[in-house]
Amino acid sequence: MSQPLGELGRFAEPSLYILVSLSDGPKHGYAIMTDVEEISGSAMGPGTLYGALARLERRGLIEALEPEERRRPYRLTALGETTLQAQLDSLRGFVRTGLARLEGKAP
Amino acid sequence: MSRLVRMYPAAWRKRYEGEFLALLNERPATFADRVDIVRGALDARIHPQVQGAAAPPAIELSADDLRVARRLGFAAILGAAVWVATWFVASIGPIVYDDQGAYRDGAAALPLAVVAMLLLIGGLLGQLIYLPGSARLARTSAGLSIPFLLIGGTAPWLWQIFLIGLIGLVGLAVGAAVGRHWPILATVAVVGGCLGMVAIVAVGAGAVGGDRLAGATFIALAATAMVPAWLGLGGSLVRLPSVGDHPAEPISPLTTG
Repeated sequence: MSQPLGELGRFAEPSLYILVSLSDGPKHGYAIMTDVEEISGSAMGPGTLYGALARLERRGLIEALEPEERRRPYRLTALGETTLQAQLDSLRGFVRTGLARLEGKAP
Repeated sequence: MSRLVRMYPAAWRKRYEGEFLALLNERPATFADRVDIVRGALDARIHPQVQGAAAPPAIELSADDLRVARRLGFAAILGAAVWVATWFVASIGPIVYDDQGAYRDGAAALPLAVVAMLLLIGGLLGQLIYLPGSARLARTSAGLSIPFLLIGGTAPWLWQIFLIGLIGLVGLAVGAAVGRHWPILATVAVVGGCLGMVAIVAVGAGAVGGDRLAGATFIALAATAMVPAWLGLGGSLVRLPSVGDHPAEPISPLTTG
């Protein structure tokens, strides 16, 4: 079972990046921001980051761990992993279709 | 920076403020980040995700208050129609010539303007009944706008006074949205209507120069652009449950996801 991210509106894409960022282990806010910047090539603002984190936490896709000083790490839940897997599978099909069509049009 | 963070609702700050400030300490905020934080704060108020902030504050309204507030909402909506009629009548008034040229005499529309403004003020009074005491910005703005709209709305040459009334309407709409007492659509209608009117007047003033006939047309157009504001103001009251549906239930003004 997984949850669609589309219902998160403008936070859907940032949420997907956050899930990917957390897929290799727990991270706190600043680490997520820098990781997402590396993955996506563009910066994610702090308001957007915490808007997405709050939505993911509320939906049970991530969970907060005990704070380390003032920084609080987050990790994927089982539901978050399943949801991320479903999203990536969907994107893989999308990419495959797009590439196949492009190659079909190539001279 | 902590001033920006204070824009977030209390429940959000209780849960996230510490780590959020830690993040901002590690990464000095750019101008774009500051804009993003303001957007985030508005989002957190409109679509709260944190437990404890998810439900909007319930408002206890007596059956009589509820009935009166809804009726005043209908009055405001009716006022929008009268306002349109006002400017239609004004725009077909007789052309009068004086030593500065031609202008259109809209005096026949004055009684309609008074009625329209009274109906709008009825809606504002409805808001004062409906909005809780904690909605200070919205209530203060509504109270402030009443005399200014009444005077400025019926005497177009006192446009500065009318402008203060419009600022009051915008304050009411923003305050009601921040406190989650209005649906966001009502706030967009009121703010958009007021800003639309001001924008048209500003553009029109430059475009028509000293042509008083063309200027009157622009003013009529601008005034009509304000209609969504009336509908938003009245609509936010009309959508309240009718007394027969919920005779003794506390009113919970919004159900957003």
